[in-house]
Amino acid sequence: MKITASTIVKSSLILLLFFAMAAGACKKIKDPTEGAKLIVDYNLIKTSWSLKFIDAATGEIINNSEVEIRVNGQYKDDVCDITGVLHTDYIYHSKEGFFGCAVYNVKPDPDNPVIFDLSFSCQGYIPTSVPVVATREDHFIMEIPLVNYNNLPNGVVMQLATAQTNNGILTENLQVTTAAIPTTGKTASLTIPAGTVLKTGDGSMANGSVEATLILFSNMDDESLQAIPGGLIASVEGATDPKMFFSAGFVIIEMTDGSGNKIVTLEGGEATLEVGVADQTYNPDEGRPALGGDEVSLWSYYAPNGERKYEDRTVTVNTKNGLMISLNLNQLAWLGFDWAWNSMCWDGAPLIFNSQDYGCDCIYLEAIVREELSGNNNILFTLPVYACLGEEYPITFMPASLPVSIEFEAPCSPTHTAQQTYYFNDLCSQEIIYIELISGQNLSNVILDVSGYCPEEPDIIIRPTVGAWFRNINDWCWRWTFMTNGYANICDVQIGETYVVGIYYDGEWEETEVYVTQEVYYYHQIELTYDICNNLNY
Amino acid sequence: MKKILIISCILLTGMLPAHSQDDYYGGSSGDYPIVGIGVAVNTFGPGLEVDVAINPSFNIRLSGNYFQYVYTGNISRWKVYGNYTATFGNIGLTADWNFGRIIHLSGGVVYNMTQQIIDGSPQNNYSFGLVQVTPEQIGNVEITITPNKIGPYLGLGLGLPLDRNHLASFFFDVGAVYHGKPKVELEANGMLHPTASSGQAKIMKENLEKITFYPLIAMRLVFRII
Repeated sequence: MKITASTIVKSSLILLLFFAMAAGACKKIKDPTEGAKLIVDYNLIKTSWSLKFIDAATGEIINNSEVEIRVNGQYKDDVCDITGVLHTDYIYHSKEGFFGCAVYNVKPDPDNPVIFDLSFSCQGYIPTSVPVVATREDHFIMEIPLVNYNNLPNGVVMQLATAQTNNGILTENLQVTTAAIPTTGKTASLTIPAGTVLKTGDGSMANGSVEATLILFSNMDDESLQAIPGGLIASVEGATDPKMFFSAGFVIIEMTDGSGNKIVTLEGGEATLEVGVADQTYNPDEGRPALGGDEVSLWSYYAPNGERKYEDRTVTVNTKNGLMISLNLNQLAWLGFDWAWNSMCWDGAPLIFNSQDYGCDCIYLEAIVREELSGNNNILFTLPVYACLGEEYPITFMPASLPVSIEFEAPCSPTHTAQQTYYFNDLCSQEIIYIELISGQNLSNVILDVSGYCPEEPDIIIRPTVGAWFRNINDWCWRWTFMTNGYANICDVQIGETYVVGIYYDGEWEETEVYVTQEVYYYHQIELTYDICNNLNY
Repeated sequence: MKKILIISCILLTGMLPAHSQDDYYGGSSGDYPIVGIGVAVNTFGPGLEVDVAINPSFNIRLSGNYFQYVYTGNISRWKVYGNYTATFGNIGLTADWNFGRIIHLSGGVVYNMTQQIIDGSPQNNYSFGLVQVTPEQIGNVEITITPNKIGPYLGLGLGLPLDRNHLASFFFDVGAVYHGKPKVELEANGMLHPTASSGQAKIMKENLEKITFYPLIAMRLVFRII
């Protein structure tokens, strides 16, 4: 074999090329998933409620006290936190004035509506409750006004009085009379004669000095009507469905002894309660304003379970001071004087919102519903609505055959409806109601991109599908938006302004600030709570 | 890739007449062509080939190999269970230049069937308070890694070339196929659907972009038939 110089050079070049290629082929193989994330769209909750607690007098969010929320009713075992966490004691807590809950394992529909009660208690505020009704899978919003004992809303008056007891026996007459409600001039008065035996809930005798509290809610003031404990649509003991009430007034009677125990029963003497009834009060049973001699039902209300209980029928009396209800009591309770409106429908007329110039797909509105039967234009309830343009928004559990008016407000947004007030003869008719929206100003819309993670599992990302709240940092009115797969449209915002966006989950309030520029996307990461992370083990 | 193809062609064609084939093998041109069929095992899997020796220093080979391996394992960083399907295979058209008695340089074009599919999904029910989630609800993620289909091959081999004096020849080859930056396709469904974003696929592609060559080690046994 002849080995020439040419062969050696060529062989060397070939070997060099070969080794270069071999080196390229033998690179360490990197895990292809390194740096990539497993992204989970946590969208299993199909029916949820976002709640906002506001002060009934100021309208501001109650972010300085925690609200305790107790779930009652037949579906209470299906109610959970929006992340799916179930509290076996049925007690949850708000954070920064917000709360969210959901139902799981049940699918609401008009034939099988999901109904439960949420009872709320908060230090310094009058306890209340709300019945929750769903006839479809959706994400709902609720605004809960709470009455601060030290800052009563318009139409609510309160008076305190003290008296002495000896071995549980009242040693002097106890009389407490509220101030007159400015709009109606009506008062409430409670008299307990000396000699009455006062007992606490467990049957013990009251001791020391007793303090009585009497609070009267007007049936003619918006703030008062919305703040009536349990609301004007409330659950009723023994009834499967909630009822709506035409109010003639509501009183809270409470008495505590020297040890702070609540006094419940009165023995050996009868307390007398006199409640003035506003002259304009409407009696729907008779279809005319209330007159002396009209019967009105007496309902006791127990805030911890959120239920009203039918007690008796009382009769209005004409006095020189106008209409009055007078009754004798041997138990102290929270009492409503109401006519029930028995005709309700699960699914009301569907609303469809349209707009030629509104820049977002959906908008948060507050519908203020007033009855137009009495001529008093009294508020029935405020219904927060998240309306998506062109889509039907069925309103749930509405009074049938009751003329109403609705005003829609878009809080902190220049967007408004074409008409200021819409009138409807029957919200239970299935006729579609079209509402035209007008964007008042050309504002911007941005998208917030939110993802959650657990510190121990940084490669797994949870993208929430949940309701979110936002407001201008200099403003107090919160608007609602719905976050899908971690994306939330923040609509009607101004370039150059900072907005606060927050979500409630698992007892936590996660908040971020967004300074709006020309950018469309804003990113925010949430470190998830231990509860959630602890459950992320497939 | 074009550059490498051009270099391969130059090497294959430009070096062929560098020496007389009779120098090494002692055969005459009249004995050629010689046709052989063979079996091979290489890093693409087992396969078959047809060899045609045009002359003592030049051989053309058409080969095909295929192998599929399915195995399971955890994608630990994602806490999901993975079904891995690794497919290896090629159809190659290669030319061998015998420039020493038993050494040859090989170059050619390969149709690459190699593909790696990782199908990740949770195996167990997942419970979170009231929420019970099945693996079907969670969904799965499928990562498909595919190199370029057509790529050049260059390698060195040892073995006596086909001739009239031997019935069979055994070869050992070492080389590499250039397949370029692998493509990554990402699909996901159920609750995992956001995983399949273009951003995620880009990250995975970047993780693999340095792997542009596939090493080829082959053992071949070729029988002369004509």
